[in-house]
Amino acid sequence: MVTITLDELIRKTLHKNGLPLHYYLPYLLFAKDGLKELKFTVLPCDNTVELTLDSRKEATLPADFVGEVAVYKAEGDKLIELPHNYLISTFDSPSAFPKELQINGADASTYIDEFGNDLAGDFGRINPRTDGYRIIPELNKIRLDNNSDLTKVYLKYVTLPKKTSNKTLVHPFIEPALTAYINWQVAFYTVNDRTVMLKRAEYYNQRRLAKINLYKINITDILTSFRMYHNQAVKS
Amino acid sequence: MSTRLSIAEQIQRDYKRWLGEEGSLKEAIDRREVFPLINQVANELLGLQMQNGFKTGSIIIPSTIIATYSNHAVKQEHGRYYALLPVFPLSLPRNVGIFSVIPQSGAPLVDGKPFIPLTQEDWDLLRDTDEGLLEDQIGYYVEGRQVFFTKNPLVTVVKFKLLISDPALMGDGDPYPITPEIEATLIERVLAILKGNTSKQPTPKSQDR
Repeated sequence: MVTITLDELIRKTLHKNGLPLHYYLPYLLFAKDGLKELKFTVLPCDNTVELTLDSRKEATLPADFVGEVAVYKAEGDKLIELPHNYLISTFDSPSAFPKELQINGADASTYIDEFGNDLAGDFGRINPRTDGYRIIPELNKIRLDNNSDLTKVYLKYVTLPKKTSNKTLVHPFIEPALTAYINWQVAFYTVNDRTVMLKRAEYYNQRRLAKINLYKINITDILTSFRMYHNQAVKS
Repeated sequence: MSTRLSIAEQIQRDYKRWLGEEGSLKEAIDRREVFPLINQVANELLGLQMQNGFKTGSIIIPSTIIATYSNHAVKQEHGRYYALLPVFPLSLPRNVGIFSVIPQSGAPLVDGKPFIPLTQEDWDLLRDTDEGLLEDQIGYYVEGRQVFFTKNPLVTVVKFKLLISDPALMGDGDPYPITPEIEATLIERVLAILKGNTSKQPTPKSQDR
């Protein structure tokens, strides 16, 4: 895949703005911030990893994990997306759960398993959900339902911009947007409000253009453009 | 094209004209006194010219005032690599006075890609961050006369390009490295100093007497 390095982009932007190499570091700071923002908004999907679950049905998140896009299980030659389950306990170990807890006079273990998972949600279900997952950022873990029989899951996640031997790579489609972001930030710290607003508008135009180049237009984009200058939703 | 000698001679003639009949040849200023004044005023005017450019947001560096100093040794002390500045350049924002520091290697010496200029504050704040890696490039910052590199520059000698009008680099008959638009101001300023008048606007000759 064709990419350019952040270094090339900064040098080109400095040249366009008629500045010497002495402004490299401020531009590098703005470029890194801009690239992170574009990575999280325009280029969200970045990496996929296979995670092996332990006996507790959990796995440690990758070191470069920022946020999840989706979690899949393998079924034959297909990947099936797993649902979220926000009822999965966030207790780190069984001992953290107070076993003496009583619910309606009955032993809590009737309703809650040894890890603190609520069992009542599945009561009466013929096919209780077994493969839901929960990302637990404070533990840096992904955890599946305790009764899942999966041993591996596939995590698609957002990560920080990629580097090759300490050189940050930039997707060609987002190059104009990133340049516009740098110019906006430079203007923000140096010149008057009107110029800042113009540069800001230019950045958002370029970001939209990058998104159009990368993906098909979707319903969210259409609604966003319809409601751009309105604070309220359309009333039915 | 003006040389330092031609500028000095013009100053001497104007000065003698100003002394007029009351003065004599003995009172005429010696060229050795005029040369340092020309260099000092030239650097002052170049500095002001550049500073005004920075204020308006345009950084135009006249390449005629870039002085080159080649083959300067890189030394190591307490794990830090540095080279010594041959002269102190113009004082400008973000150390633009040190226009570039370039690695040199091979025989004959070949220039490499210039190091990334940083300020001392930049390096103190960002040395341990991802930005401090400078995209896998080597930077430099200045402490007094020492130019420190952010890591081993992997060369033994460097070239400095400095913004300065340095008399050591030119003979009296060489073209003087100032822009033509400030030449007249340079002569006026030197004459004003010689006449004991330090104001930037010398008074007309008729009133001087």
